[in-house]
Amino acid sequence: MIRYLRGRLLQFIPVLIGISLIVFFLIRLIPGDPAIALLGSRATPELIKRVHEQLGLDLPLWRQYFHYLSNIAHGDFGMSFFYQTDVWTLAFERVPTTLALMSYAVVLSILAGVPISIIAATRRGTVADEAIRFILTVALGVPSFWLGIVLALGFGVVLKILPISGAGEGGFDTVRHLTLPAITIASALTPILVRTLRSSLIEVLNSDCVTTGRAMGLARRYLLSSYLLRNSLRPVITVISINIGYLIGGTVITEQIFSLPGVGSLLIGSIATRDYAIIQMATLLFALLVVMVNLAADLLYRIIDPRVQL
Amino acid sequence: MAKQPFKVVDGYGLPVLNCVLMAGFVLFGSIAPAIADTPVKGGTLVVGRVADINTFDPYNTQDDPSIFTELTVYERLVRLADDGRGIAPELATSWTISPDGLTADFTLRQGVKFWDGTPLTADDVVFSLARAVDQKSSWGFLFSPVKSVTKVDDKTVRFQMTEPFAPLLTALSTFAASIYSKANFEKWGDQAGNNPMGTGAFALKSWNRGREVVLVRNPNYWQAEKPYLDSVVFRDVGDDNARTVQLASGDLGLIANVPANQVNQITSAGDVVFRVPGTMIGFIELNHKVPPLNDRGARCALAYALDRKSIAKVVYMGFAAPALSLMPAATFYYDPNTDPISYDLEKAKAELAQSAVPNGFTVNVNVRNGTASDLAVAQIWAAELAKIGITLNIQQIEATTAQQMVNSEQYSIDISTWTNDTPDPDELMGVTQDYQSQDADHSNYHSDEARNLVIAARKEMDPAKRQVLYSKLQRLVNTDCSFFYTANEDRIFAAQPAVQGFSPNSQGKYNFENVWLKH
Repeated sequence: MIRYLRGRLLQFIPVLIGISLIVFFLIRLIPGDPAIALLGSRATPELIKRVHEQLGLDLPLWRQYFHYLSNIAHGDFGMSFFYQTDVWTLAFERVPTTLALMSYAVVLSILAGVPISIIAATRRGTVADEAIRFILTVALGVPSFWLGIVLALGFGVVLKILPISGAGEGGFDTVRHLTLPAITIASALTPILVRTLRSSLIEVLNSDCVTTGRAMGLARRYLLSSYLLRNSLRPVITVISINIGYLIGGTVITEQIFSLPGVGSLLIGSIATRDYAIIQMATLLFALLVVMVNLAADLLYRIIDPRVQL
Repeated sequence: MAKQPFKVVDGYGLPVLNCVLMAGFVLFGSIAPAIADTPVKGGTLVVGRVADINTFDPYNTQDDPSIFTELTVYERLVRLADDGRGIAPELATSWTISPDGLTADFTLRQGVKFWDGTPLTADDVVFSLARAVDQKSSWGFLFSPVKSVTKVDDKTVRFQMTEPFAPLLTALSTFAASIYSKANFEKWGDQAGNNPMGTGAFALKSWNRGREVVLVRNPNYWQAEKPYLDSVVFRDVGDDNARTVQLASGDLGLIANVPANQVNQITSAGDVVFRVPGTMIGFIELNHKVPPLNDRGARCALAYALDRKSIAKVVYMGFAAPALSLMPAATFYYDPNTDPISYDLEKAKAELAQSAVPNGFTVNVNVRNGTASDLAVAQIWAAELAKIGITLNIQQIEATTAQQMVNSEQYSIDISTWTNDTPDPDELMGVTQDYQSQDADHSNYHSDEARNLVIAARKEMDPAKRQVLYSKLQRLVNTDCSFFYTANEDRIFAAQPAVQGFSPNSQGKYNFENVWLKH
């Protein structure tokens, strides 16, 4: 197990280097010079040259990349072009908000998704099952930038029961502030979860062990908790780990709507200003998150299902 | 010249227009905010804006949020008068300009202190303004004839010019001529842009990047009793809808950049809307190097097919007036009677017939992604042009890329918005008409007649004679069809009813020293 873990952690290094390489060159391939983003319509060749020198953009690309990598190895992730400050501090102080938002959305999706899936699976083909399918299809189709605004209007403006901007002062206040953004993200994640969970539950319901259990006269509740839910945990983990990228996309948009100081909102602003250092830092953080969630998913498989060999 | 939000207002010597402009801040649904009540002290005003600031150093400032924040934390020798028509004292109490226009002396206000309690001195003024007029600074071009800024004595600062320079006072009222503490600047070195020290009504408390800038009352402010607010917070809320919703919920007290289509929603919720007319102009730049745009007839055919009335009504939902000159209507020396180009398809056809391409042509037009109004302008224009055999190929391009295409002259037609940073026309006319300037735009329009008029107007100290020169220049733009304009777009703000005393002046300064909250 420890050997496995060490191996997986070592694999992070080439993965992250690969990602840094792709991101580094990809953002430089986008047309639009950071100097022009900074200087706008008045970018004279002299000013552009001065900005390029200041930002180190006058060096050949391979040297810029080499500098970038060697700086990272020394713990220096670079300076933001726009803010002229260290991007590590800039991005890192935003990580807790983004992580809290994503976790909250996952918890909400599970809290809503599991019972809904059980109802849909045990009442297959009934009106309830059809209604769930219909509602979730609609929920999946609703764009989050629209749903976020509607939720903000409903709960923040009309009912005035939940805050609609900022991340609060910590503790319960933060939970309140993150509720509407988390619902916005969860409303898109839940349908995906239910779709997978429902089919896997149906499979378990039709399995020999459940039929035997039924024949033995085991209580429905016992069957549900011991057989169905345990067996359904794996698809939950799979769905969430596969959709981690989707979740990140959701936070980027939702943070923007609810003015949350997260990594996503920082990333959006930085793309427009071609703030390479921030884009690189934020992308690396998200990439790290994806590989870590995948590792955690593999470890969890092992814990909930002893048959899985690592 | 930041090509997005704000600024300007008001014309010299144009009584009819001035009446319209003085009606300035129109309020919907109720009566304009009367300052009948006595201001009360205290409270925090949270202002929602589209983006974060970049820096507090005017030397490197490029973006509008930074410009407007600098206007709040710093002060300048002079400011635009409240009516937008003249210049009023700020950190200078008086000034004299020599008859030859080559020397200007400013007497400094005494007893002014920075936030930290240190007194403002002539050295601080000279230090700040010497950086402002430095031709290497981002805005040095606004002061190009200024040769030197020197201290005469502890109370007096002198400007010397290489030639008479009519726009000096308006240039000194811009954010670029902000005055800050020399000692503080030198203490912070290359981090000075993050650590300002000014004499403005509000001092910087914290800057949480990408989130908010928190300003608090300057305890040493020289205007007794002011400011009224304890603090002002500039919060970044990039999404237009989110700003409106957060105003309605009370999270924000005031919002900037309100889209016209949200005005009804805001007023019906009981909030207050402010309009500042004539501060921005829809601006269409042509690359005169790309055929057939080098042909006057082809250009005029394009120009006469622009239906400005429809654009003002449909695209800006009435929150704009059809433009009648390349100069925004609020600019000094604006003249709407210089044969403005108006919509006339017959004339467009006639111009096309006399051009090098009588059977029509196809031309690319760039529109920045996400600017719905520019796209709508292009679509309305394309529909009209299709009727006379001209195909407009609309390309939506990401903003920075579109700007790069203009700067590298790899474009044919570019639609954007122009805002003057000073009410003096020299800035816009200089970059569009003076093709030899290092700050010339990228139109490749080379007219010596236009260039000479710009230079003559810059040197002309007599307002009446300057008006003649600028009227001539505006007429030339129209007869040459060199640059196109669409509509003077209103600048729209919205606030909660409790917000009193908010009246952005013609330069767009937010004036928080006069703002207070009604309980």
